[in-house]
Amino acid sequence: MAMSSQTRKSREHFGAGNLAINPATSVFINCPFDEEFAPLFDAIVFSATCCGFLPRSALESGTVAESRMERIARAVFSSKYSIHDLSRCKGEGNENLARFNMPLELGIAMGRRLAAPRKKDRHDWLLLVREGHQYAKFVSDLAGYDPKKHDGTAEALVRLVMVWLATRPEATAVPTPRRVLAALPQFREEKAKLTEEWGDEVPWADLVLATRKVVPPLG
Amino acid sequence: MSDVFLSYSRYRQPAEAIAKELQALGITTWLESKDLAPGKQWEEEIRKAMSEARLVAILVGRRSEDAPPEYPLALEHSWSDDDKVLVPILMDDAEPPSFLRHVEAIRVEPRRQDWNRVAKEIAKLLHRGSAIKRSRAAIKEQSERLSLIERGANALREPDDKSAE
Repeated sequence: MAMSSQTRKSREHFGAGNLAINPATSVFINCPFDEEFAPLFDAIVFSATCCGFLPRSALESGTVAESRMERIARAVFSSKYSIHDLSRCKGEGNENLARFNMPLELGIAMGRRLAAPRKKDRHDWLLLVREGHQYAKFVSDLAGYDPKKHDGTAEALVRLVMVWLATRPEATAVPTPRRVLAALPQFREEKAKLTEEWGDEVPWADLVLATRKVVPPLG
Repeated sequence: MSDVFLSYSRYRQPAEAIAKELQALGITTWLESKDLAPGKQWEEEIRKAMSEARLVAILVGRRSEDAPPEYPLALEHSWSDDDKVLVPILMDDAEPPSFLRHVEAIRVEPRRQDWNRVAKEIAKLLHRGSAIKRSRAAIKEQSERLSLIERGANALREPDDKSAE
């Protein structure tokens, strides 16, 4: 594998230095990681950074000995916020199987909310579904949680994520969604450079730093 | 359709007092406590009322553990409508939430229930908003006229250019 442009000494690690974890400004992103969802995933991660939050994900700890579920639970429990997109919980492929990682991780977030002893530490989430999605039929316990519906475009997701995160008490002053959308292709270029270098194993730290490089000015 | 949408969170009484003062100034208001009919869909009704109002006034308190559900709706409206005026009314020495930090706020000092002054300040911002809206419309009209003139001038120039060839 090609050597990263960051030398071993200057390499930034997720959870330390500039990427230190503050639970109050951490947002766990729970959505598919495949190629089809990638443009929407980019939109969510970039929007989170533009609102002054640290995006977290199951990918942040790379491939370590700890089980995936434990890593996810650790990330959710050290994040005050989370974003869950259940769009892909529907029959797919020849076997018509649905992906259930997303509702499972939403369940962890709900547990985190109930476990918080003080109101100010309480976990809060944004639930996203595609328009016309029949989530209420297969996870009827979500009734009353008011998921936000989107049309599967980056434009809709940037708006939904930003409107929610920008109004959390820990948000910084934010640029408008128009500016964020205009800067999104720059982030994609940065991500493409990283993918060229690392293939499918782009370190989460590098991805988050790439979002910070192209955050648009306020306005 | 109302001129001012009042979002009050836990400040229902002050909001009702401000609404009364605004009404005395001839400004109509929308308040959840008086205008949300029982059995109606909360979010749908709030969304509609906010979209119709020219100004959204948000009473902000010091405790900010939870963002009131009206916050995202208000921000969404201000992003999709340049003419929508958002005004934080800061109660009890509260600081504005970050998304309202760049807009003009009205401060209400603790124990000073000067609702008439607050209503007058809202009225001032409402009129200023209308003036800005009128200027925007005038600028738009003017730029449309200019582009018509430019197109006309170009059309007149084209035959000359061809004859010069």
